[in-house]
Amino acid sequence: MKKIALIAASLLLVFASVAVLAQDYKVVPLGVPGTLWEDFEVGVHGGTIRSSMISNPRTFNPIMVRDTASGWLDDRMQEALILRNPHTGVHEPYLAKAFEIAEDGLSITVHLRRGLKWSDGEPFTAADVMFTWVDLWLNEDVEARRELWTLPDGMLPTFEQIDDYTVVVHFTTIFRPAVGFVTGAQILPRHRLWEYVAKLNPALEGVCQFNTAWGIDVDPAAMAGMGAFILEHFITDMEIRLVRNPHFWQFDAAGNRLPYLDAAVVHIVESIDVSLLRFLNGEIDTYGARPEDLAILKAEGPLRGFETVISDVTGWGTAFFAFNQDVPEDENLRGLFRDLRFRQAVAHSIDLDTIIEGIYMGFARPQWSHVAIPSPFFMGDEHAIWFEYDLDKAASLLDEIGLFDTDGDGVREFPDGSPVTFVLITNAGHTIREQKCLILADDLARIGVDVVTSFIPFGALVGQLLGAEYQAVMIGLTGGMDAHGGRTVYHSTGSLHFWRFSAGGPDGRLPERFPVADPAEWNARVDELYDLGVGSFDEAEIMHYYHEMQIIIRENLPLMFTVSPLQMASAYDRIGNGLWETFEGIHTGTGLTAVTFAFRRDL
Amino acid sequence: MIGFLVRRFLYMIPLLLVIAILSFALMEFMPGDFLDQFRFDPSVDLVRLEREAARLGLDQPRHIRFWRWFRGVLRGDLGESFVTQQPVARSLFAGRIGWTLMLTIPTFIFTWVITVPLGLYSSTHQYKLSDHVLTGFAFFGMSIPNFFFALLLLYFLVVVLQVGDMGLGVSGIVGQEFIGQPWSWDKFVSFLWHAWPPILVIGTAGMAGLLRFTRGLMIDTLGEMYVMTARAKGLTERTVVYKHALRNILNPFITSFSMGIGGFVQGAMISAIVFNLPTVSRAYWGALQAQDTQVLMGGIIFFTSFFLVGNLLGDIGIAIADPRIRVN
Repeated sequence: MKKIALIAASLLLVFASVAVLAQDYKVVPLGVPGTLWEDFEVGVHGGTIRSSMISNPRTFNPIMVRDTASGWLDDRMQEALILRNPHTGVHEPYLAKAFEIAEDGLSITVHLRRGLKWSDGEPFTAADVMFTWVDLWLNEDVEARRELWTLPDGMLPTFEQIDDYTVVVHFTTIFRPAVGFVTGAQILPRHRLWEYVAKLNPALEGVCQFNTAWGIDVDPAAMAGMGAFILEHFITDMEIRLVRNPHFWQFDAAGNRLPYLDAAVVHIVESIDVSLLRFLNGEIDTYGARPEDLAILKAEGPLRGFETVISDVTGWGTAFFAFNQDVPEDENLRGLFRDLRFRQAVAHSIDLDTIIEGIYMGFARPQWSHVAIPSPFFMGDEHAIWFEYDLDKAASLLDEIGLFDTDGDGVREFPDGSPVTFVLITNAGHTIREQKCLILADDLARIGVDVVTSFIPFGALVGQLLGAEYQAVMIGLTGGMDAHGGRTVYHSTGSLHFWRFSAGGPDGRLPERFPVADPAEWNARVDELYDLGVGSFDEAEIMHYYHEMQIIIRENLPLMFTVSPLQMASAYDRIGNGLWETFEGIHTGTGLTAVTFAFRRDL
Repeated sequence: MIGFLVRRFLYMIPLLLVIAILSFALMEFMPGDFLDQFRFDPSVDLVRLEREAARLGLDQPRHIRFWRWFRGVLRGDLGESFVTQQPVARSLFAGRIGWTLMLTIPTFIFTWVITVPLGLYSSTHQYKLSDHVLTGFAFFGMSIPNFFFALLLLYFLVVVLQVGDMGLGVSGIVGQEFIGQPWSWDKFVSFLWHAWPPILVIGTAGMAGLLRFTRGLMIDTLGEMYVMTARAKGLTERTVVYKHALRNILNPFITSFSMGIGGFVQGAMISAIVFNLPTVSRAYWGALQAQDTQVLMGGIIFFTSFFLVGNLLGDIGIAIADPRIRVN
């Protein structure tokens, strides 16, 4: 009863706040029980939060962002219309007030929030949205990643402005991910950027300057954003200082305009060890911890007044062993790598417990699916197909293939007498991958498979992978929320189908080497599922396709996944709502822009 | 003397030309290119990569790329950074060169002012306890990696001395409250506090080699016949060492000194990373990691030029110190 009363009172406060504000502001129910935000606190205005990141941003132009540091900063300064909440997996309106997908799935009508202002006080309207979509994203002069917007029929979406607060996106065919890409693009201020676009500014005489606009030497006064913060300064190798956007359009349930903080300062600290020392020294307020830091963080935390949390949420990436099923000039290895029983034997030889305990000190989670664990498309471990560590089973699978140690030297031989040996590569200097290689090589040696590990420069590694010249590799891939992002890897014609480029044939990456498609049988169904997964907006139907795909891919082991590290973060007690996200981009909770909600308790 | 200078200056031109070719070849030997970091990203498709390669000129044959770059070098245009799209000189030096000089020059002075007298002392007290102590220090300085010494020092400051409780920061070039602020007395004091650890670490490494160099050179010289003659003449040991022996080891000192001047504009790379210093070498390190070949090649040209200028100054110094060089 008490809880209901509390919820009712909170909601009343929310509605009252909104009524007073009389704008289409977004109210975030921080601390309201029963909501996603119940663990947050309502904060107080003022103060600065400090943290660090390991590299300088490369640009402040959201369309030109290709690196993590710039992406993180842009996410603080700019906003999109609609984003998928990573916690719930549901598309939620941000700058949009609401949106509707047409019954035929060929258009989306987006209603914008009214009365919002850019950080410089100019009104935010549909003109900004149309500028971003039409004059920037569809503009051939702009180096935007338009391929993300390209529909399966090769067409791009078209756009229509109904009024100052309503826009419509039209598609020629249903392509579900385009909804996220198009409406998830950050909206940029027309009044600040039109002059860099040649087709809008005759003074440029046809030379588009947008691609270099808002570079790292931009005058912050020339920028504007809809994000919680705006840039005050960037000093190379030293710091980025963001200050509160005075016109930010989100409020807490008590009617306080967000963000609470006056400023967020990000130090550029290239060495993570030094970042840790700075955190211990109290110079920064939050820190993205590593497993090897836990001992000192747990010991020092109570003395220095900070807390470290270990989330059960992992990162977006995957890490795996893979074999080149097209390995050149070695029919024995090619045949072996294409034999599912061999790949199963290797999967049974991957000692995940040793990897988790020995490399990650226990703070990692076994990975079985090609879909990132935090993704709403991930099936969950309850559906997992595990290949338990069992060298006896692995050995019997090798026996079944017909590989025996005929000369008693400890290494099995192919029927023609040549030894079962291959080179396992990874990128030199990535110590975690190197250790994984050594652990696997050691275990495979125990069942008579000779593995030569070779750690080579990343450039050489990429060259070997994309040229299909390697034999076996340990590597990882970045992942994303939408399972469709894996298409380039798992679709038979994908440009990163590096474990079997021959599957693509003339449509694949290496048509000159593989003019005739030679896919594994199961890959045809995966190809089909990728097409089905983008052709509907029915969430249940889509999930069914991607779940089937995860099972097929796991059963056939084109890649043998290892583990994904758990996310950890530390924050001083003086920071409220601080452990939900650090500046390193560690997501311990919803993954939303939690710095927007952080506040100082010591004011 | 003028003829000598002109001659030395002219020598630098073909040398720079050769270095330009070698630096380009060096970049070509590196496996992969700038776009490798995107080639294995599932969200970047082939069309995009081809467009990027065309935009950056990476799709062209080597000789064309070299000619385009070299033509730019001759015009004084080293191109733009692939990463930041800034001109190379700006990408390397903007916001960094001042800080770099503020660190390298005091380190250089610290090293030379302390080490040369210690080396001389060590050489004139050979195999005595003080010599063993100094030699031990030199071996320590040479054997401990800079990054490790730097981390130890920071750990000592943070965890043992707990300087944070006194409001003192570690690493960086000034306290965070002074970043972006105009110079003031407090900012200068903060700079001094932040500068001494890197000066100590970098200086210690430099001192070690220089101390052994000075000691060895002086011991050799003190064994020369003319030194024995000077002693036989009844000159005081002080006169023998400082008037006769020291003057004769000046040339290698000047050479070593001038080579150090060439490094002023770079700063120590590893220490800069650990101490989080905004030096030129850190920018170069970033370019190396990103395979930003424009900046890397431009950097080699710049650093070599400074090095050659340092050498030229050294040659001038030697010519002044030793008339035989001028005459020959």
